[in-house]
Amino acid sequence: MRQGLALALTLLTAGCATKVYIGPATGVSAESQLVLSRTLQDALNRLNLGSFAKKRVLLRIFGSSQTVGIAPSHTLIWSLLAERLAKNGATLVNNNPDILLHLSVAICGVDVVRRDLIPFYHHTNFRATVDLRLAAYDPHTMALTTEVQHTRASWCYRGQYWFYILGPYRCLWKEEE
Amino acid sequence: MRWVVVWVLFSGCAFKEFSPPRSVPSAEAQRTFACAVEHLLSELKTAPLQNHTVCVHLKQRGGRYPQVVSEMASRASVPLLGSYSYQPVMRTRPPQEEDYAASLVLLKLAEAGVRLTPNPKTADMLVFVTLLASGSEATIRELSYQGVVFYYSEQMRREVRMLVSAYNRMTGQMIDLLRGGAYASETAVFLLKILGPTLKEIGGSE
Repeated sequence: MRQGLALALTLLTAGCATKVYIGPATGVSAESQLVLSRTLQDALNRLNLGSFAKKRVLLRIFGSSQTVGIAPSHTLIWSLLAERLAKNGATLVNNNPDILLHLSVAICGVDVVRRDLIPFYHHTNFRATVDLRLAAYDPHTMALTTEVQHTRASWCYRGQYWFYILGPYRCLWKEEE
Repeated sequence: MRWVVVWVLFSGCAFKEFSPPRSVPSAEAQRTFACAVEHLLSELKTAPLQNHTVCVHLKQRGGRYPQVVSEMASRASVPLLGSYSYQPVMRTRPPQEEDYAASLVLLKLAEAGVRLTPNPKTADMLVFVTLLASGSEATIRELSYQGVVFYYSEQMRREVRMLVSAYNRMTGQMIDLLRGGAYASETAVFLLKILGPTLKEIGGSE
């Protein structure tokens, strides 16, 4: 009986349900993209863009090489902010602006933590954090036209498995900081 | 039976993974960089720029950065003439990091009431931001016995060395507004790979 139990436990604990998304070959996981875009939208929604209505805005985004430049997140940040500016009545231009808008992206990334309690439970946690600072300058004097806005948001996405058979049970929630 | 319960509890594993640079970067790696830069810029001198018209140099042009060149090393052989090879061209300091720091310098100067201009031709002081070093290292520590991990920690440490200099176009003088280094690190600690992570943040200047 004991030997049978030991064998059963060995078989159950021998494996480890893992979800690993690494490298350019497989691309970024859908979960990572989902939670990052949700967090980014939440952070951008907290910005007050009403003061840029009917203004010609030149937008510049600054951040680390992992988020700005040829990184896909640059396009995402640009598109989402441009959409919100347009909704608030601003016009995006490439020259002769009324406002020079600088968005400094301190953080725009995802931390992934896997947790196992073999053979009962497994989860993979995707925690995205976005930290933004928006400064509006007069293009001629470079004086700040509005107060600098600082916003930070964090969302979590979790896929849970029970006994490595049942699941994934997915949940997405906002983390308060 | 008691040992079976202990075995089951201890056989769990907890991983913390940081995606590679071409994938989505970890938030912690970025947070440590941002913390180190902010910590360092708290020492920025703005007094030498008062009563001057200042332009902060940014590398971004038209919302774009120059393409980072990274060629593979290649070797070619020519009969009778021998062979030649070229080395990969690597830019170790991508311009984005320097521009991020420059955007914060610009913000600090604007908040300090320094007279600014976007046009370098109308400025009498030009401010340049150079990252002398900017890199991170991850240290993993594990205390285990016979496969049972009692303690596991991951430390992400980012070190930044920066030079912010101002060039007076009238006198041709260069002055340092900031020259120094700072680091920020973040440690995630797991006990028995079941409890945790407990985060401990440390930051400082050197």
